[in-house]
Amino acid sequence: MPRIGVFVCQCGTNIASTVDTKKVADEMAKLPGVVYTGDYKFMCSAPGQDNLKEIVKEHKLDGVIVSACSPHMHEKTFRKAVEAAGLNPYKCEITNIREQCSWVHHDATKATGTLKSIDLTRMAIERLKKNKSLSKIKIPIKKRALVIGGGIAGIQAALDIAEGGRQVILVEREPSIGGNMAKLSETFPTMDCSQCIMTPKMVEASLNENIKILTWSEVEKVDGYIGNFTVQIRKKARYVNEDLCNGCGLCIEKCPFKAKSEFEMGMTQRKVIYTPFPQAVPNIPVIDAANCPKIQKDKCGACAIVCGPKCIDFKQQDAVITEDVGAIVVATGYQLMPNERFGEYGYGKIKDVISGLQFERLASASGPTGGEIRRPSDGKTPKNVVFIQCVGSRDEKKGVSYCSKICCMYTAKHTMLYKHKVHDGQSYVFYMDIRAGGKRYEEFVRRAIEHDGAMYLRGRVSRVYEKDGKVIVQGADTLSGNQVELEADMVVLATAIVSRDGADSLAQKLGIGYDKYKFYNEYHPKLKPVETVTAGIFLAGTCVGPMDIPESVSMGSASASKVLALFSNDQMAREPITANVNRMTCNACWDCVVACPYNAIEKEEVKNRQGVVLKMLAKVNEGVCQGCGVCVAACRSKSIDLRGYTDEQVYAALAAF
Amino acid sequence: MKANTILTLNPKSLPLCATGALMQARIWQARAGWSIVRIIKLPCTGRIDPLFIIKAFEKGADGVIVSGCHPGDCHYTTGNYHARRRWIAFKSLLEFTGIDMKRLHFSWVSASEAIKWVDLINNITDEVKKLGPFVEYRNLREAQ
Ligand SMILES: Cc1cc2nc3c(=O)[nH]c(=O)nc-3n(C[C@H](O)[C@H](O)[C@H](O)COP(=O)(O)OP(=O)(O)OC[C@H]3O[C@@H](n4cnc5c(N)ncnc54)[C@H](O)[C@@H]3O)c2cc1C
Ligand code: SF4
Ligand code: SF4
Ligand code: FES
Repeated sequence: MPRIGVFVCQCGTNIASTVDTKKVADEMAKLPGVVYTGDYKFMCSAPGQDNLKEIVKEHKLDGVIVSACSPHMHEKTFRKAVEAAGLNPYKCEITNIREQCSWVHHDATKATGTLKSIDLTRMAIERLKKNKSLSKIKIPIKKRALVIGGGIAGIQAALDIAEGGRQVILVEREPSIGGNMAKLSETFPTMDCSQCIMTPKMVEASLNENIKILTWSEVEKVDGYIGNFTVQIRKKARYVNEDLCNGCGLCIEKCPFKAKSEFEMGMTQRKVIYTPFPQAVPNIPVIDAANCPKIQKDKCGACAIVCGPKCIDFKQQDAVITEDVGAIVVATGYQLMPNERFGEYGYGKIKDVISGLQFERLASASGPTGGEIRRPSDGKTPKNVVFIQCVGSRDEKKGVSYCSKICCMYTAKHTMLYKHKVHDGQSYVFYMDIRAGGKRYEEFVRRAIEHDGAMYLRGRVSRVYEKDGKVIVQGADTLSGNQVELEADMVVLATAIVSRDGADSLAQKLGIGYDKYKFYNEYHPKLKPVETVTAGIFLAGTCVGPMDIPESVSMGSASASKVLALFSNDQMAREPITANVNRMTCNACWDCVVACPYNAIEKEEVKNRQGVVLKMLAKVNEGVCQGCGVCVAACRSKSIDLRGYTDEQVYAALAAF
Repeated sequence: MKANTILTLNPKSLPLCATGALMQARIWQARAGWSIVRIIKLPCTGRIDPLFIIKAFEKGADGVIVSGCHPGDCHYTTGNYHARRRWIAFKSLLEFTGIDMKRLHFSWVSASEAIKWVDLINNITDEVKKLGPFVEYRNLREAQ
């Protein structure tokens, strides 16, 4: 006969006001196997826990029920207490009679609440009778990390992990790390030059012995689980031997062919052998194979002739390398919504309608105009510039429903940069609302308006078209109720921040979730903002959603601290809620293998002493299994069960109902 | 008093409820109907064996609610796709065995949709109360 103790908590009056806790306890005492019952004011208080421990020992209990609040609150607390009293922690179950019962009942006679609490507790007791002792699963940890994406968020994460003494592999798909921040001119709200604060970090990352940077590379495959991931990384052919190249740049100088510069957002050209920008890390060029006549039709080869260390290799192939890591930080960032989608704003048709990032390049000292604001069509200095905010944002029909969050701030910044460079220029901003929440942010926008004379017009732009070398902007000023028409020399669109192309396929490789806009899902948006549902994989920066640099950096550091905390142990303990196979009855139909969302089930060969395969069996990898139980419901021969949620336990609860 | 009368007839409805997250939702607008609800917590709707539902009816449930994350938003990534596929097949079987489909509800409610969850329970418990105790099914079992 089991020896179960039932503790009913009053939670002050939280439970006691609609549940007669004493009656619940007394009723439970009548059930077979229940040897102790009692009700208390606060079970979770220190005296409450001590009392629990004493009674467990005194009555030699082998199972404990605490009827109290949601298990999310104190399951851990009570399981710990029970363990301290010498019992297996998984022999303690919580009945939720607060959220599920007292809080949803308003009956002052306590009749309904008491009745329901009795039922719930009885069900839990019957379930508990089927509980098995479980022990936490121990998994070894490989103390190296992978960071995917070398923007500011990924760089910060890599630096912090390296600083903590652990090795990091930083994978970046472009030829250089830096991401979008490397493209910015000056940054709100302090207006420090982006390159000046960014490049030291890039260099630091490249000099750090613990960081191995793989640029022009992409993650191809991820296997394994927390502490034990195996990652395949495709190093795309660079056509330049990285070990030999000394970054002299002669090849770039001598290359006779050009293509559009991605880094300059198509506003200028770069050579076919190139580094994206002068401060690129690593300072090793790549050949744009699609545009290289040597690779395409064996003509030219100028770079190979001038290269001193002879590192040009037109025959180079992609290489796939394998790395073992214990944790992964995903920091793949954002891109702008392709403005071509906004035909009414003339983007793509009218040369002088540009995007926010293109404006950053125009304002940047290292940009195509050397930092002078000159418009793309004829290189003239624009005297009237119209900025349009919320292009594609907050507009479910044409774009995305969310607010891109940083555009209010960077548009204000753009008006300032413009004013500082073109003193007699006038800027106009069409906006819906100004969202400048953040330290010193509101003051920043006010400065743009009051000090730098930006003219803010509240309303939507309906049409942008070209007339006599001017860009005509038609829109509504909803504050004055007038239609406005402005003659602009240049128009800057603050287009929506969206997830990177391919964000979904990377998420699928990693087994992490994403929302309908393909931004990655946090485990919990408030309490676990850098974790994902897949243990050991963390998030940083704008791959989660629009955010500015300080937030991206914070997330990078937060992820790094999670990684370092994980690496501070040699082994890690996990909840033992995992599936296990009955080796007697499994008939190797592989239904579970197919159903498991985590590929946690392997096909095991059972061999005899001669090494002959006798039969096949499903085998759950405990490190990978997340305990969802999908396999259990999928198995037709009932050969797989879920610890902690066994069929036996569920049916016992149902039978007591 | 009404709720009490019904309770004496023993109509309990039993929602099978996935992920604890749902239960975190604080439920203020709940009505008396909740007194007839008993929750069975499971990690994911994907864990639900259709036989659980049959068992619940057999043990005296007058209605069953299966509730979990939205398709595409399963905490365990794809568990509820499996659940959905299973139910589509299972539903016709249940109908065949004589279970009134008004007594069985599947609904997707995310952990952040407390209001939706409350409305769901309010509506379904009202409906199940109107239907009264599910004696047909229990009689069927006893006849066997
Ligand atoms: C016009 C404009 C102006 C802005 N001005 C400011 C400002 O003044 N102040 C401010 O605080 N913020 C500003 N921001 C916001 C700022 O750009 C971002 O907050 C910041 O750059 C985000 O960094 P990140 O590392 O998250 O992403 P990113 O910079 O996008 O970096 C992501 C990196 O990951 C790489 N990557 C992507 N996918 C993969 C993959 N599958 N495998 C490997 N690598 C991959 C990318 O190539 C990139 O290098 C501005 C944004 C815009 C659009
Ligand atoms: S579904 Fe069941 S029988 Fe089939 S392989 Fe898996 S455990 Fe074995
Ligand atoms: S419980 Fe879920 S994660 Fe574990 S083996 Fe079964 S299906 Fe896979
Ligand atoms: S975890 Fe909610 S349905 Fe799978």
